[in-house]
Amino acid sequence: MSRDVRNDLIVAGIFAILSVGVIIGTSDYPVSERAVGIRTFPLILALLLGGLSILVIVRSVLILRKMPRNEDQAGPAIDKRVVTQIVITVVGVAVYIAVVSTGGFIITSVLYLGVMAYYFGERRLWMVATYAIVGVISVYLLFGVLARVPFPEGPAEQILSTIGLG
Amino acid sequence: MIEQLLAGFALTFSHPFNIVLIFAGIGIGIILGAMPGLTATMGIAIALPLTFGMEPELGLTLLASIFIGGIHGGGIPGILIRTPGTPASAASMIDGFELSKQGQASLALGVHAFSSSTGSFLSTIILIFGSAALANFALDFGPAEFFILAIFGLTVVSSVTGRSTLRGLFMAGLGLLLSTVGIDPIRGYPRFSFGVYELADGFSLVPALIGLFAISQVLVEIMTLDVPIIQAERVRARLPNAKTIRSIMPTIFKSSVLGTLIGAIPGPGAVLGSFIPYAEAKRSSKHPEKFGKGAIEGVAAAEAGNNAAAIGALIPTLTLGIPGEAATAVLLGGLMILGLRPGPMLFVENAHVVYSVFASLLIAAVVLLFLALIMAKHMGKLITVPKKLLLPAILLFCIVGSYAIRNSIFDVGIALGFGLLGFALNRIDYPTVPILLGLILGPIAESSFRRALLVSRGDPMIFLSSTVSIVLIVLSVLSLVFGYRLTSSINRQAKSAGLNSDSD
Repeated sequence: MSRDVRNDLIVAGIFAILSVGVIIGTSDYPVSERAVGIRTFPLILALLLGGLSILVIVRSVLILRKMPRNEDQAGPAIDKRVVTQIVITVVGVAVYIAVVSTGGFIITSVLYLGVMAYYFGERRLWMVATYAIVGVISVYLLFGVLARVPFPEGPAEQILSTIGLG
Repeated sequence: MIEQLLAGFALTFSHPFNIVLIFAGIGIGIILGAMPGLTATMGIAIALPLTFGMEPELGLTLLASIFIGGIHGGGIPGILIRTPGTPASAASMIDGFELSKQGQASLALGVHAFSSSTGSFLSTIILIFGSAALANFALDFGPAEFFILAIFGLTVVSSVTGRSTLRGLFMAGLGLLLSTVGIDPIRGYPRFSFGVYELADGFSLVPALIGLFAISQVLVEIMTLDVPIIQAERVRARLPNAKTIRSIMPTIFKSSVLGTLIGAIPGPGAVLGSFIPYAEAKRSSKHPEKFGKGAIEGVAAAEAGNNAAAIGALIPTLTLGIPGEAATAVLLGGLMILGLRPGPMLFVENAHVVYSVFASLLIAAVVLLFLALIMAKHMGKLITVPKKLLLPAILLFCIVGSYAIRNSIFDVGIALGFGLLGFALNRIDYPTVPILLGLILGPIAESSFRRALLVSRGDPMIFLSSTVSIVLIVLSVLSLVFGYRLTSSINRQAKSAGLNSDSD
């Protein structure tokens, strides 16, 4: 239970800061001569969320103070290996974003699919290669050819366009 | 209305591609719904970018078909391996898996397919008549009513999604705040974009919903990457014989009506839409003792109710712009991306699109039966595709889908950001549907709010000037009270059952 209350406390704290940020951020917006202006809606939202945050913070602190200190301090922790897998997955997408503009869609995607499948536990290299190539061709046909999405170009796309397939 | 529906059929059949899309959508939906961990919502989110170049009616047909297929597909792993693909399919698992254990998986899958198809068909008929009537009623709404309606939608969804009303309200507030990023809807002044050119138009909806509903789900699934896959047998679906069909038809009919009505109330969603018809079928059965031990009626009631509730949820989504749960919230986003404005005006400005989609839904219900019976024998293999191959492919689809809307790498980063947000919120039990709803309804709420106050010269009493507004305000307050009591009661039960819980 205390884990949920602590989570609520943290979220309410973040919202309180966010609300103050919105109030400050909108303070230099031009003032309207009419009843409502550019600032009105975000300001009302910030005031409502700020008020709600203060209520939750007060309530959470009161609950935590009444609670025995040793009760359910830690929630079920995630396995370290799972945390690493999640971090690697997120970093993988971030690297993809950074590389795709220069590497082009085809090469970056083949490498991405192959590396991720290998990392997630597929150890048969022929399977990794087939999976990555067939997967990228399918996505390319679906989005690049059917939906006509202009993908970032790299060496592979240039070769394809040279031989008249791009 | 009949004329419009016939025109809808004519429009549907005038595009041969439409029928292909129905088959493709139902097929994709069944596969995605059947794979434990994947959902129809994720399928719709990933398929959205594919609809950009299409006519709105074609795009919507694809998305609605994935939706219907996904709802049906969720029941298959429940019957075969006792692992429901979606929470709403848990009710059909109760008797479906018992039938499988008794060596009657073929019959269970056949009844499941027939009930899904019939439930979808009957529910679509109610949708056609119900939504037209509701849209007509809502045509007289002014900006004040639209603002209150948006607030009503947000409070209802915040009240009943997740474990706590308070958490839902926070998330709806976050969605509304995020919707204010970019150029303001009336004067065109940039807000909170911090000089970032790509944020000038605010957060693009597709990357946001791909992040919230697909990338976050992939990250959640990584946590069970090492869980061994349960192998399923290869089973053919067998259509029940005429005698069985006659015996289950009253149950299917009653469950479809009940499911549609429950689905049409924003919030309760498909879970109650399947369990309440199941409970009612058991209550009114001549052999209630057979329920839970392999009753065909149980599978029929749960599955007809489940599909009917999903389609029933389209009534408030299309007519009022208020989706009841995640899948319809994503569909609502799809409507807007295809250039349509959800709400009563949709039935005036784009009646041909609406009725073409209704016609497609009726065809899709028939196609569902056909495809469900054919695909059943392959499902045992499909639902056991290893996650180590599935998850990277889904991530690539998410990346490409986010990129495709504006050909922008920046949008992929936005999707990743929303994915991380969705994952973090999932870990601490905060709902994500209200964020999406806030993002969608935010601009409508703000422009209606400002227009109403401009009309009234700043007098806030305009929001209490009509009966509709007052009724909606009362309903919003009631939904908060009801939601608070409901979540408190669920939390108390969870606590007494020894589960970790908290109430607000």
